[in-house]
Amino acid sequence: MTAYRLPASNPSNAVIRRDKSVFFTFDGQQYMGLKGDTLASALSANDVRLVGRSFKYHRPRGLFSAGPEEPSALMTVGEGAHREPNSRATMVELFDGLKATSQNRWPSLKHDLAAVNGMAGNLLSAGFYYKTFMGPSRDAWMIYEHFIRKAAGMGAGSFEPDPDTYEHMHGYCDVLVVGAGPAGLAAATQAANSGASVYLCEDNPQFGGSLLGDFSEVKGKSAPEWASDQIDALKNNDTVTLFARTTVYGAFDDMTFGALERLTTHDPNPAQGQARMRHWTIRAKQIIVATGRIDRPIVFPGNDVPGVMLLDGVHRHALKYAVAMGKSVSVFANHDGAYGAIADLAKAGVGIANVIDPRPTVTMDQAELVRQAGADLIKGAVVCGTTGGRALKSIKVSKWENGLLSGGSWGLECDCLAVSGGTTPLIHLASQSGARPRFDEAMSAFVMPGPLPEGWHSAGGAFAEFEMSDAIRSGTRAGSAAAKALGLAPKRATPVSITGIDFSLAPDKIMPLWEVPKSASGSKQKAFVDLQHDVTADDIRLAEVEGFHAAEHLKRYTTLGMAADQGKTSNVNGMAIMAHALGTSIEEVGTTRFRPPYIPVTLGAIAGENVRGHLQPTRKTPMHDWHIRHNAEMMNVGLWKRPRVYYKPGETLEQAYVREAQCVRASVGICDVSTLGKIDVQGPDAGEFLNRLYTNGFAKLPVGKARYGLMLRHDGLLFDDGTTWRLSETQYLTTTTTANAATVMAHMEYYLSVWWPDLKVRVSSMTDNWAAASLAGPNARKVLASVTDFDVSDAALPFMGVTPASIDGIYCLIARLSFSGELAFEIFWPACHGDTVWRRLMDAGTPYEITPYGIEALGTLRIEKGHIAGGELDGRVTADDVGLSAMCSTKKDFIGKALMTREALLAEDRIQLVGLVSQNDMALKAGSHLVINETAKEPAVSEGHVSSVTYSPVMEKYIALGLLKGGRDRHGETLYVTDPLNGTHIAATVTDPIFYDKAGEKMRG
Amino acid sequence: MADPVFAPTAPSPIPADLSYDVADVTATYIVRVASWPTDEKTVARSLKSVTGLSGDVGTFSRKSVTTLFALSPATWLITTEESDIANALLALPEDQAATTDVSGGHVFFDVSGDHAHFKLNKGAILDFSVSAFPVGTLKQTAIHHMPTVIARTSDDAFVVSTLRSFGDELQSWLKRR
Repeated sequence: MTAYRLPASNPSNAVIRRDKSVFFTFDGQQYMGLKGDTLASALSANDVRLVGRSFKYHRPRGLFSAGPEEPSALMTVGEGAHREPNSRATMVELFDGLKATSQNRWPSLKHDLAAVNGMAGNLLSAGFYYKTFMGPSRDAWMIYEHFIRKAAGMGAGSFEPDPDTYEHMHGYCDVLVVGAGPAGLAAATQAANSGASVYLCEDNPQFGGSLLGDFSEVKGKSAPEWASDQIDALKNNDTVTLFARTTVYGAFDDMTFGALERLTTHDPNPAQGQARMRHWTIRAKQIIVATGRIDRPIVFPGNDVPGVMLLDGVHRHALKYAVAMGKSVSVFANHDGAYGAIADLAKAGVGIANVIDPRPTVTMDQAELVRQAGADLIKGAVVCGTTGGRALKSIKVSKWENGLLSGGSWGLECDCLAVSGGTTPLIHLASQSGARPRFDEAMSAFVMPGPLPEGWHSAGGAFAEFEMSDAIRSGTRAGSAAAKALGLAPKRATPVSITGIDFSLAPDKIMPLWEVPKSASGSKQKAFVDLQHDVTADDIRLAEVEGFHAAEHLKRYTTLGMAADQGKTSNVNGMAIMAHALGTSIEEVGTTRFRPPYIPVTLGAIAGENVRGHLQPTRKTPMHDWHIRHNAEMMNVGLWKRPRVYYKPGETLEQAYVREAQCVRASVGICDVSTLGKIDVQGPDAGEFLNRLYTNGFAKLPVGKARYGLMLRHDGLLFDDGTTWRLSETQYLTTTTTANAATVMAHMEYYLSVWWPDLKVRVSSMTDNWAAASLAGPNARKVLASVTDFDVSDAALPFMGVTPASIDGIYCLIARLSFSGELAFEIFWPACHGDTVWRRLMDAGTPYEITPYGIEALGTLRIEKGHIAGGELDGRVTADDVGLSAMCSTKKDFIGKALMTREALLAEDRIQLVGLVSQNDMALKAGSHLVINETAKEPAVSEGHVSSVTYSPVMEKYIALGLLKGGRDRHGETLYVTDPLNGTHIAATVTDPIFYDKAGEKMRG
Repeated sequence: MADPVFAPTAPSPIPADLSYDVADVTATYIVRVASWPTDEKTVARSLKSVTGLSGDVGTFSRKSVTTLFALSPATWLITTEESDIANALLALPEDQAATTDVSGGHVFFDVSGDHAHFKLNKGAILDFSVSAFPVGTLKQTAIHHMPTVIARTSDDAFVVSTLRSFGDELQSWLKRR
């Protein structure tokens, strides 16, 4: 047991296990703690006072608090891929083998060379970056940025992939209770007893909150025992779900809350596959905020020396973890509530040396408490300075009269100063709801706004009910109110009797004191407001002088409250100092709106399962396994996996797709087109419906025929294209592009539901029902004829003809369509027979050396044919841009017709579809810009861009489709395909977009 | 000194090793019936006479080898192992409804066990309490971008359906504890 570990006391027995030692390292040095310790309490028990360095001046920092508000003890926990920077030591549960490292220092925490920054303190004041890095030229920023980025940040994360797993969970409850202290426990009990389903979330490993650090007795039991009884009762209630180690970090719209549950962060040997953290999205009907309170500091010169802490932090460490934060502790506080804490500390065995209270008088009882604690009471005085570098040695005290320092100062030796300038209710969550916090002058604190939004309740310290009895009562009241709002009849709660000294703060028993001014004390020490970001009181006054008065401006100019702790311990003092500088009230200055997250949330928890290979689900065609077996390289097309090419030994990608395309042109190829969107359109008004959707007419399309159609968005721009097959008088099968399948389906349902509910039409997605293949090439008909008894001759099935048929007894639909420009058929058959029919077609094609081809060759064939696809259908082009204006009917109305003739969409310099042929045997890149400059270096105006590229076996050149300003009149012109990022600049000839069989004789043959 | 009272805590509400089973469900014939809005009741009666099943929107009913999912207003999905029933459905008068044979287009899984709802709640944004999601009802949702229909068959059992192309992915996700 170390010298700083206190003797066993009742509250501390609730949290730490004195019989279980835990070994850990900090900066390579091994220490021993106890099970139940936090990293912070264990370090303190081992007399480790220097735990970090501040951001800007690299000043030595010690522990400041005992909770998530900790601004100084930020450490990197773990190593290698598991390292996690900026972990608050106060929230890290100790376990055997834990490795913690200090950060933002070099070469060591004790000797940090960057501490020299402190000598340039005046230079590095607020606004330093804005004022300094302005010139001499814009390019200079690029140099500054390199160094600023190196200096920025605190700890460093790992460059290795995160090996841990995370998961998401959605939860629903009637009442979400945040915080399981006295108020939260009472609220959860009352709501649950009234019949509500309750989630009770506590960010600590143990439930009980302040009850675990209190000598009071509740209903005749110790506070921790009473908490334990409450939890047992809640555990036995089926409607209650208890969440330990779970922080509700954010409030979002419609009563949705984000919570982070830590599952294995405290476990040295987690089970294989166990998620490290779980992100909860909780939807609650009512919420009770019982998040408690924290102490607020007083700003004074030298207030950042390790050893200066919040009184609440000293109290919690002593009573929860049995750790004295010093051997000789002085207390500097300005309110009655501090005296309860002083009594508790003394009872726990902490040596109190002095109590400094700026108020001229205290009550007899308070004076007696101080006497019993063995301390000296110094009334009407303040702390105006400190000595000590890496650890507090003494404090300077001065008389304080009428808000001013009076007389000289004197020194008092102590190794810990516990400060409390009042209390800050933790209202962050309520503030996130949009409610604006209100400043309560009597309490000198920002408190919950009233009234809270619908469904919101608060209780306990967060509601400024600081005494335990009040907290429990307010919790019960909030539980009843939540139950009532749910339409439940609240149960009658039994009153709770409490004995002991309350650690309380009555509103009228505080003397507001935000800062002991440096100028008045004559001290040269800095007075810090934000300990993590090194924002001083002088910085705030400088911001006032320079006109940054509003709370939000002050925050951004000085970085007050922008550190990892988000100003939990600094904001209120900062606003008070600004108000004083402006000569106005704190209410007038206001506070910044708290935003999620309340605590830092690991990115992995937000990603959940969406990491590595599971970023998005995979859709497979019915022939997926066949493709894999036949050496296909699969690629993502939206969520689908599609064959890119089928490699033969030794082939490059280009060699593979060129071979495949050549085989199609020479004999026959087969391509899996199951991913095409397929929509069944049925009903007596189906023809009329399609007429309204498409630019061209479908109502008069004969049964057994297919037609290519264009669909516009309502703004007149091209939306999608595809063929529609008429299967009967009342039934059509519409195909869409793979990319737009779901969007077109939604588009159709929207118009049917909202605009034309009078039409008797229903649409069904058939994409997953049909396997589909395109059989293309001069021998395609021979292959098809050999597997079906149906007549597929040109006479029976002419170009754009559709027929039902069967292959080996399996029903199918065959349409004579061509995307490749060759004689081709699209065959649809039930997905459950996908592999069977595909293999049958492959077998039938063997005599013709049938070749499966992937989407690279599919692209080659359609680019050679000048057919548009995704690259051209980019949402910015009109039908005329791609040469299809003739398909827009002048006789009927259709979606997009009214707006397609807008002046801008008819402008002469609009981009138009063209072909491009590389002049020097270099591959063109999709997305490259078309420019007229011969050299790459000169700035150039883009004339258009390349939309699709390939090597053309027909042309024996690299070709492309592009969209070029006035392109149809520029055939023959030489342009340059430029891609500055990749350093390519290639001459290309503008051509007609159709490179192959312009007359269409092959596909009609 | 009083006896130690170790602070109350609680394990995670979600067990590390979830207890549930996943099994394929055979659906040989799948028919989608979508009536015209004016003929919804007529078609519902026809469905009942063909399948013996009926139900309001958002309900799920099963009889022998036939299951009826009342997906949305005037829209039903019926799975059956009997070709006669499938054919009868596809033969419903076309002046009342659009009927579509979507056999093979959907896959179905039985997910059952004490912790089945925990697993589903890892992906589905639904309240799985019995009061909010009673037995015999269904909900349409998405799990990791996969369109999904979930029907509750008992307090701790569900039928989960998605499109065929997502079948492998959904099954793999369901089995991953």
